[in-house]
Amino acid sequence: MSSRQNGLNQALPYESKWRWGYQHYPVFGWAWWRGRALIFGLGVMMLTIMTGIGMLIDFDDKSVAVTTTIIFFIGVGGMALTGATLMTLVRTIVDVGQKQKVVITIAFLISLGLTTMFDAWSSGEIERAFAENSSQKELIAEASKVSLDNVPLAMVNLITAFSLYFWLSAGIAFIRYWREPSQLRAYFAQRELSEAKAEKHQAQAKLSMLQAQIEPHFLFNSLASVKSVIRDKPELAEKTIDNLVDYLRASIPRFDDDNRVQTVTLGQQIELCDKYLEVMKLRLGDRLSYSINVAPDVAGHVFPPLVITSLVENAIKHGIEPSTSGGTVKISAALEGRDLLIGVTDTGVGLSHHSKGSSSGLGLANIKEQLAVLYGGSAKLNLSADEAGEVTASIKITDFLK
Amino acid sequence: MQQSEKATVKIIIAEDELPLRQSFERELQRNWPEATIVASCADGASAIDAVKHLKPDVVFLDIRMPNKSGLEVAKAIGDQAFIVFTTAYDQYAVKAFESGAVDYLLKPIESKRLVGTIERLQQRLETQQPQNLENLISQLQGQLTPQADTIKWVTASAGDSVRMISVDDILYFQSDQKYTKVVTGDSEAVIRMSLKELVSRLDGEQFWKVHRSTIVAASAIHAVKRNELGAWRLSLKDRAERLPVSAEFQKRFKAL
Repeated sequence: MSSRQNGLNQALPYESKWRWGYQHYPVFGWAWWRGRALIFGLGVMMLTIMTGIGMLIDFDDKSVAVTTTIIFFIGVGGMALTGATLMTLVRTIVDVGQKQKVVITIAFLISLGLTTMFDAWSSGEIERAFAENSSQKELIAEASKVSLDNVPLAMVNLITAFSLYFWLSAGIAFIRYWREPSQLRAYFAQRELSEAKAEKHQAQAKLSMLQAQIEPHFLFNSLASVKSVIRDKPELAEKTIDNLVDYLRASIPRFDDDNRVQTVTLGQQIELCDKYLEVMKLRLGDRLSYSINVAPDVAGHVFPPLVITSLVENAIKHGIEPSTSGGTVKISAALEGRDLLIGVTDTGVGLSHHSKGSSSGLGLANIKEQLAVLYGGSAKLNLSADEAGEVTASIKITDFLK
Repeated sequence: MQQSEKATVKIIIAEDELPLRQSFERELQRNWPEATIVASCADGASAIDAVKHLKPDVVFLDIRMPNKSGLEVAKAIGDQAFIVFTTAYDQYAVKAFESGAVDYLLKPIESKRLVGTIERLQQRLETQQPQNLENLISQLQGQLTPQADTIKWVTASAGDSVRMISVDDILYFQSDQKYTKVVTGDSEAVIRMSLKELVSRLDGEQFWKVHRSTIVAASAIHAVKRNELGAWRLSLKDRAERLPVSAEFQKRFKAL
């Protein structure tokens, strides 16, 4: 017994608009056979009933009409089911492989022959019955004479007959039998590929989470600041600790039950930026001011974690902190049509000042990579500066809303 | 001011974050009442200035500060004063300070440690002359501002704005007398880096110098062919332009 046999009664995993009903099962399996037998059986029944009624009305001898109807039923039924049954027997009995292919092909050829014989036998019987019993026997005799002399018509008849035999002998399924393995392989290859891609997403997301761990410098400096105000401004110290705790907590990678990185909304991340900036405000005082401008309709959307906070951290680290007079950080997020636009601007020391023409910008490269993995070519990260020294990191995700 | 009195120890503090600066001043005064804080600076440049004018005995220096880092300030001070570095977290620095027996304080600053440092300073002020830390500092500066082996972005001026371009987007660089032209799939810009500098800072696997005027992204190369005049030219994927190829590169390309 072949190992593929179990699979034969399960629907094929891939979709095709060309298949319906029983055709979703692998050909020449019993599930397929049952479905096909039901449909074809119904067709045969209908034809038989119609032909039977016709003959009962037409023929004078009602018993001949009944016998002929039975012959018709056996003939057409045999034509419709022989091929399917034979090849199903072969596929379920013979092991998968070259041998099965050969035997199925032989079975198909035998089926074609049997189908032809069923037709020849039943048609012969029916024609004879008609010739002897029909009220229009003269007309029938006339018609059969004409057709014998007409070569093109005979050709058409032949082709029609062959097509019919081919179809009834499960010829289409026979073709599908040859194509099934390659389609299955293609399907599994595709599935493996998309699974690999999904895995890569996950790995990437985890990696970025781990890479984005809190900077010790930030942590210790913030604690030092809290310590410095704890006596004079206990409320401020308390609030700052709250903000710091929220920020730290969000920076620790969190995974759900399936070990996937937990999703967060854009709004949650902006809130986190707010907390980070509040902490920095205590430390930098007048050197830092900031504004957050987020359209209410974007806040609820899921967005990769730590991307915006990284941009804000960059703005502080490279823009505000190196400047004696400080500056303003502006965060904005909005939808433009179906596109998402995120901007983090700072009026600090400017790009050229601190990077001196080049930058390793590892953080940005990391963000860029993360966006590329998640959104492909539809995500763009851009860093630009104007004459006044305002530096803007902007993210644009085309067709963010699908 | 008690500048003439020898007994008074003059201290300068350099710390850019105001709350830290204030609390540090407080702590110092509490634990070292004989000393006078003659200046409290919020950035490196003003610290250098203050040191020059006020000739302190001890300088407390934050390492990360605007415009001049604590290390740069220490370099400028030389052997003019005893230096104590303060830092929240600088792995390399702390290691170097330990091995070089340089005083340092970790933020948040613990009172106990501050007291210990003050005692040590008092001892040194009586028995030693400040040392020049130049060697240590030069070594540290290299470690604290690591020059990445390969650059990931270049900053380019296009019109009147500065833009950062990821090297992954760049098809080729071409030198144009004074400037270097950067060409990506959908834009062109000019950067100030020379080709020579770029060669040393770009990933050699990703970018090939194919001519003395041209660096090309290997992934963008379509073919190298001889034109009607017999000169070798490089064509790019989906691009019309032809780039010059040096004889040296031809050989390498053929060898691949």
